[in-house]
Amino acid sequence: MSRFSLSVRLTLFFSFIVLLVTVTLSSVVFYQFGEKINQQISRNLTDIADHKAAEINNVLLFERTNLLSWRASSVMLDVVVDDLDKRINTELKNLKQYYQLKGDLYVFNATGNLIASTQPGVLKTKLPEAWQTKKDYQLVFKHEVPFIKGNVIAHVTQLKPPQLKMQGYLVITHSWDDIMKILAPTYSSNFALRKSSEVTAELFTTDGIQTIALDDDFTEKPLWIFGEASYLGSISKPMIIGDFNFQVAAFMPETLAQEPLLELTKNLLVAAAFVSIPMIFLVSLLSRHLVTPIKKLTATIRSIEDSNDLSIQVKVSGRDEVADLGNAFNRMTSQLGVLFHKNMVVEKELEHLNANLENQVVERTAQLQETLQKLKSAQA
Amino acid sequence: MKTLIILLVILFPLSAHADLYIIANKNLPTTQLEKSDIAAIYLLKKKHWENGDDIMPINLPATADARTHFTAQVFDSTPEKLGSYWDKMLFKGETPPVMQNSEQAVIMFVERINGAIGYVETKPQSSQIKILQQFK
Repeated sequence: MSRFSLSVRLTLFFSFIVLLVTVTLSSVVFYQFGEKINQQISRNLTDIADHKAAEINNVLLFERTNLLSWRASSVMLDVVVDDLDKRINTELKNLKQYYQLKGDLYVFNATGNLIASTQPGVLKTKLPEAWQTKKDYQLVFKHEVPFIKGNVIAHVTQLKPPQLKMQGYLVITHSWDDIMKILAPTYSSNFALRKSSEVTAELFTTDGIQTIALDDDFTEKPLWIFGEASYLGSISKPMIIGDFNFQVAAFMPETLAQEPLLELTKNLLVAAAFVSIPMIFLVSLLSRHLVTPIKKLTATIRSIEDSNDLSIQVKVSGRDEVADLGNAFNRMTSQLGVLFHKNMVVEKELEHLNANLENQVVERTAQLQETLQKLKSAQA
Repeated sequence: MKTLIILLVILFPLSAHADLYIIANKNLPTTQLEKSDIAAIYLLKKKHWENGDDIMPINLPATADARTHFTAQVFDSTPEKLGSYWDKMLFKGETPPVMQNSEQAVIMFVERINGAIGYVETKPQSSQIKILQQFK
């Protein structure tokens, strides 16, 4: 026998059912949405990485295309005469100003001496080792050059006028700091740049540049841990400039990626609470409605018990099972009442008969004594 | 007397002209060049030396005295007329002579490029250069 009333048990039972349904539905929704959100984040990260890679690619391609067209300029023939009339120098300065170049332009002659440059005070410098190439065009990625402050990216192309053998080099530089600005961390993302031939990449964080391991199996790693934080990551398509390939990876802090999921969970719980409170109230009302006739029946039985009055009837309303029980009870008490009544009548008759019999006995006894007296008097 | 000298200078400007030297790299087998050959080279009709090397004619700016002297001597024409001829040739896909700003640059160009030919009024002292023709 439970120590809780039926109505409490019913309320608890229905509440449990409601809770179970809510939790099951929430779990399904949570899982499905979680999957969708993760897929969306992954797609967004890929888009962001592609966008950043394209941004760098566009900058570098613009420089490459321009460089290859500038080297065909007739002025560049003056490389043969070591820019004696300073025409190349003037041309380079004009180009830098007109195209608003962030880096500098340099022309070296065939023996590797700097003969024209937009950077002041460096003429006659020797061609840096990093820029020595036998290729028609080469992109030299992040490197240092003795006469330039900081790291640079350089496009080196040979000056090879028509009908002549190689006469020198035309070089355009791009400050690495400028590339770093493109890849600077944002509120939601960090970026890493990787040369496709390498297994490491440079990750740009607010604390500086960090070298991380990054190979071709990028997508197989679901979570990336840098420092103490874990990140979701995605990588761009390879970008190709000449024979140089690079990729940009975008990372998003896991906590940030899970924010929509946590928001969804919070909303689900709030919605469940909003549904549960009226639901419990309704279930409570329903259980009271079900239990009330049973309580009435119990009260009637108690009053019959106290009064011994079997004529008391339970008020029955409706046509459900509880109403049937009430009707059956009423029929039972009615029949019992009739039976008790008959029993009482018989009892009273018996009492009456008993009383008559005693009187008759007393009368007969008196008559017999009187008769006996008379006989005694007659004999005497 | 002073007025006479000024008059003489104005009346005979050509007499003030220096000699005109047609120069080439010393490695070139050719030792002398006729006026007609020089004209053919600068009209972009003769394109190869006898040894098969490409000829690279070098020009000076239209404003240079040496160019006026050169066009007058070789073509009996003016720099402007010859300039418009090269413009037409450019449209036909022919590359006009390489332009250098100064005579020093012409000399240096010829010193360094085997097939180059140029004209200067200053007699070159370089051992890398030979004179193919000289005009008064």
